[in-house]
Amino acid sequence: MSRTTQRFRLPTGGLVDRSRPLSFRFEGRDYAGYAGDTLASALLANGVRLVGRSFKYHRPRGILGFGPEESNALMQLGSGARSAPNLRATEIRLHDGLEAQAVNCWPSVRFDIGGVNNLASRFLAAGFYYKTFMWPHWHVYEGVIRRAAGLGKAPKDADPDRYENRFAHCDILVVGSGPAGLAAAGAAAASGGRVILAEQDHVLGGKLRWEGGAVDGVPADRWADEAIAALRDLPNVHILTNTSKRFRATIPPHPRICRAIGIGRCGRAGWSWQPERSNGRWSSPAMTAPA
Amino acid sequence: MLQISCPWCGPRDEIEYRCGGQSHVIRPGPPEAIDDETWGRYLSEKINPRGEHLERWLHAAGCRRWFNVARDTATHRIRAVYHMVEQPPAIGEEEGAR
Amino acid sequence: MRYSAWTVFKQGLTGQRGWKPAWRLPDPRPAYDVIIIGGGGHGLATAYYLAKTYGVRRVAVLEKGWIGGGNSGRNTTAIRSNYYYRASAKMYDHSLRLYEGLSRELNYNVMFSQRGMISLAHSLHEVELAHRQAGAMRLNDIDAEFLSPAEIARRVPILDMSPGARFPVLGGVIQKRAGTARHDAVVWGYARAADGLGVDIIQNCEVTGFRRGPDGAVTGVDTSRGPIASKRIGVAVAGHSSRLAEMAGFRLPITSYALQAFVSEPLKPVLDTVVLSPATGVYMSQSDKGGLVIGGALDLYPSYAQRGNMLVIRNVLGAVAAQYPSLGRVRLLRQWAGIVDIVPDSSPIIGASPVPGLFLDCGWGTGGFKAIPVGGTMLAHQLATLSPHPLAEPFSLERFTTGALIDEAAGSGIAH
Repeated sequence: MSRTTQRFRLPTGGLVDRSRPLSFRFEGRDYAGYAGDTLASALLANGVRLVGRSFKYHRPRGILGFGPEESNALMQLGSGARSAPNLRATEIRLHDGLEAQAVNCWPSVRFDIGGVNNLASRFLAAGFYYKTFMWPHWHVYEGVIRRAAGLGKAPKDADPDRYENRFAHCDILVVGSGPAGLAAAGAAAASGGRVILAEQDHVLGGKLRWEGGAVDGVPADRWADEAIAALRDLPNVHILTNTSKRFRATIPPHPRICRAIGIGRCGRAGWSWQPERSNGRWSSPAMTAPA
Repeated sequence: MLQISCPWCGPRDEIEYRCGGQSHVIRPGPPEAIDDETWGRYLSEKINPRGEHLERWLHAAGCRRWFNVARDTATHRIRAVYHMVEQPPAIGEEEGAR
Repeated sequence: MRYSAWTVFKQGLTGQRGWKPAWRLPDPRPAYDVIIIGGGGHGLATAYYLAKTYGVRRVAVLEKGWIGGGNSGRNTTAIRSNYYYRASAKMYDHSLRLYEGLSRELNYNVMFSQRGMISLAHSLHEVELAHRQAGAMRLNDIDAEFLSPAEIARRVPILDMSPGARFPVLGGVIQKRAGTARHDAVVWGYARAADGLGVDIIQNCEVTGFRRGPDGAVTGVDTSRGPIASKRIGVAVAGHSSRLAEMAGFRLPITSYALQAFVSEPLKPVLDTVVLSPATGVYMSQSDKGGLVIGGALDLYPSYAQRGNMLVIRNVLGAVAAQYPSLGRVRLLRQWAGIVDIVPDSSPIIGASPVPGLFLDCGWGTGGFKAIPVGGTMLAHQLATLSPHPLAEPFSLERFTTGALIDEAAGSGIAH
């Protein structure tokens, strides 16, 4: 693939497979990427920096993070019955023929009518709607505000896919498979209890995969592979990848789980900023914002 | 998902059970010998503690027997499971706790 | 200072620097005319009406956490009065009518949106029950209309109305005046208005015991911020009612449960009304921010944990996915629970407690939010005049001895 179409792509390195080019469409324009890209990495390789608009003032926004913490690059993925709203570009794995648009902007992210809100931003301070819109009554204003609110669009057709669910139990839950999580899972398994290792990415290893360095003198990548192989051999360890948004643990406060999560907090699969958990049961009332 | 250890069937998921509410409620003497207030209070009053609750559970999808559970209503932790006509084991002497 | 479009505009020009705090953060005084325990919607509304309607000046609301942090901040915001019995219908409809004028009265936009509530009928039996419900409502002078499937399809396009639907829709009942409001705004609106009338709202103040006189009547409370004296105390603490009662030496016919609620990620509008399916116990509406707000049945064992379990989550969301098949790929943003005080006849307990000077506003179970204005009205009347408000008389604690229960299990809408 010619370098000029991905001006910011490095010639080597990273987790992409340059022998497998893919094409995708963002906001009506076609781009090229590689297998192993996320939509965000492919957009950055192509020099696309404007990927979204802020919720209220519709200010231009670029990519902020590289995982679930991304708050700007929210996408409407695909169209038709399998369209999915509000997915983060940093979590969408690129596939050939992918189509995506930024949410909550019209007609496009480059030219968004909603930007007019920005002109009035000084009047639209936080909570301004509690202080007005009362006369004659709320219904007069509600329609416009409802249409301006919301981010992505729900599909219009029935979801054609079917899903399974099951419940799992463990004695120790380790969240995150970076160096701390892999070490914690190994130690937990040695104690004999049932261990579940949950990783939100599709590969295990976390920062060991991209930061380089060494653990106990062993190159990080290889240390990860060996630790993972050892865990896979153990009958009391259950490894779950692609597990975060769809993973909800109802955990009674139990000493062994508390400690394991303390150890396992690391890398990208952290505990504190995942939406399901940030309002979760372990934050004290002073920290939890009313819903 | 709670796991409750049925005294006959062992640990099962909460989906198999039905909670029968406060246990050890003693029915006062023949209704005709009891005043309205005592009878009304027997029917309706609950301890409803925030803390250890002694409650009845039915293994509805299993052996269909009733048994007692000592469970904390704030943490959901089950301290003990014991038979219907027994008193709860003293703290520290539990079997079947999770 | 008054809220209005003009002040919003003026403050916009001057850098938002002129706003006054919406309420003070006073320290507790040694004594008050009335103490209200519980800083949720009911407690704050009570304080407001005490000051506004009855001119009672020295009032304190004691809240162990932050105002609106309990059930008032955890409900699914539905407001309706589609109950069966005359006593309940009158009481809830009075609340609905107060909601209709509430923003203007409090000078705070609570965003009461009368978008209607539809209760679906999935079988011929349910159709007959729906007609019965609509008839009962109209006999109580409450708006109700039976809807045909075609009319429901028009109002709720995302509902599966196909012949092969898992939950076929044969009709339903709508209360057009029902709807939703912004729950936090109701709390904040009452707080600001009550504070403006001189009520002290004292947060981080947990009641740890009651002080009693030689005749057994209350003389005050012990709190985490010191003792406070008062001879008239109202208790509006929802799921914690039994704990307060225990401190005062009596028990209530209440069991506290976790009631879960859910909201999806924000979406462009797809649902303009509130829809309940009695068959699944699941109901849904879409907030003005775009999230689908979903509620269902209790987790069926006593709990103060403010969280429920996966089983209920699966059942509730499974019902949503079955009835609204286009929502299968929409993701949940947040899930939480409150502590609901469930009473055997699913009706509230308002009025005198066994302890002189101590009055109750509890037992609302899963339906307290819609009743905030009337709950406050009734408890304020009781605290000011020491006699029950006419709307409150049928709901006294006595009914559990006399047997005059008001069984609104069906009206409460969810399985207990």
